Amino acid sequence: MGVEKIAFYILSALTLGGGVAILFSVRLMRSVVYLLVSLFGVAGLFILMGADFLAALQVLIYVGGITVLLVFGLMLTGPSQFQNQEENRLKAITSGVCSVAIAIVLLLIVRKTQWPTGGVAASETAGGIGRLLLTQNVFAFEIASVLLLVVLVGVALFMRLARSNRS
Amino acid sequence: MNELANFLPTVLSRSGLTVPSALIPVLAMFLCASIMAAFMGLSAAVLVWAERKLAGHFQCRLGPVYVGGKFGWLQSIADGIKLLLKEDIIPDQADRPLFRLAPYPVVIGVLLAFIAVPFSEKLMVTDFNIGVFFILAVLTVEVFGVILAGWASNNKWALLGAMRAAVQMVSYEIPMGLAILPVVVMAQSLSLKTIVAAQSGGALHWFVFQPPFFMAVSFLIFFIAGLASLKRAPFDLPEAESELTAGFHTEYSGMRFSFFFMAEYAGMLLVSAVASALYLGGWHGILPGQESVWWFLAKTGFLIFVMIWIRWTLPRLRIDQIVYVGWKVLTPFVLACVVGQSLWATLR
Repeated sequence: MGVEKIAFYILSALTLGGGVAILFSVRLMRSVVYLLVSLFGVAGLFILMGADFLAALQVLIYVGGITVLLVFGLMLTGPSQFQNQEENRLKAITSGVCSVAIAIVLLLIVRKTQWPTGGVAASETAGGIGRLLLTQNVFAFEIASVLLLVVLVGVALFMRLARSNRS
Repeated sequence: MNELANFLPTVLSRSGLTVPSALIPVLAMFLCASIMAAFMGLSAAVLVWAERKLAGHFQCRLGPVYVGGKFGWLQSIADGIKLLLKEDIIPDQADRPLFRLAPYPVVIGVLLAFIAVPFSEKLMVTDFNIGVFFILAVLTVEVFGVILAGWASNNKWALLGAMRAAVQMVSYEIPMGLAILPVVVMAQSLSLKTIVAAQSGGALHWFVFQPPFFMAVSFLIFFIAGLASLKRAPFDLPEAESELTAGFHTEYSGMRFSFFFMAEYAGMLLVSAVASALYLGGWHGILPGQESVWWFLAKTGFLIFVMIWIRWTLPRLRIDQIVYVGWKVLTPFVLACVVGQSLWATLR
């Protein structure tokens, strides 16, 4: 078994194990840490495929952005809150149905897609990604940035409204 | 690192050891990692001593004098031994596993970033083609450790410090990342080796001195944002000792505390090294044709001196001032620099 294969299995175990651990941990803060493990596993898989730009993006956005924001939200609560929350049955059933539906859809997508196999990523991916974003996928790129802008303006507006209501 | 991997078999065969060839790259990785870790630890010790000494002189006193005979040069070694021997205290109410885990991301983030730093043309662990971006990315891991430490301590000061760290990081990561862009536009590459190589030929070819000086402004912004990301004065709110005792590492002692301490000093070295590679010509000397690792270390050392100088001169900012500076001053200026530099590059 090659080094690459061993690394692949370790990284996949990290990714999947982190995901499973999120499901079974009661404390929210711990599950953020497990999420981090899982995200690092994905970054490692990207590196293994030679897509180091995507790996760095993964770390920068998910570790530096998303998890920090998650933790920031959690810090506004105490460490013992969110434990043994009383769940009602309806909530559990609806969330279960939703998760199963999403899982089925994802699995169907995975099965239907024609995955390229055996290809090696280009030695320099950053330039290629940039070129594609500004030519072939420029529409999606612009839509995404407009979406983010709308979110920014909306949050600023809500804050303004809340502040003027208070005073 | 690849050179090391090529070089290792001859060394090993001469010393009479037999290692399977599949393990050679792994061995080279371990060697590089341990060399970097040792370098990080040693430089942190030297920098702690330098900071003590300089702080003393800035405040018209002598700083450490006795330990090690002259100049107190063994002071940080003595401190290190003291920290290693201290009891590792974990508070009863702390979240134990997270409390234990928190120092590691902090150290690993900084250590990982060092592998992309070009000390000289040959002396670097590996030349990523996304070098600068990689450094920015792994440095965010450090902040996560800080926040984790503050949260897991279950202490109100630690929590406040960690929240301030999070706010500060979110505000300053953007100007820091954008400040790199004018250089990337100029050098047409994200690889630190290529960026430094593009600045050869004397001080006038360094990126700070390039007209129309967009890169000089972005150098200032990078340096300020770097100070903020290192949590050094005047941005040391996460550990503001006069109000939060020690901020996010209030509850840490001994070895675990020294991890945070070491990461801060190694981070100083890292930010200075990256700034001197990006803007100050890296390993290139003042006159054309001068190339050596000593130039790189001299520039880095000078930037570290400036950091210490700022720390012992300026008072601490308030958190709203910090957020104000980050979003309303640095971000617009750095955006203007990026747009200006891109226009300049296309028009020329």
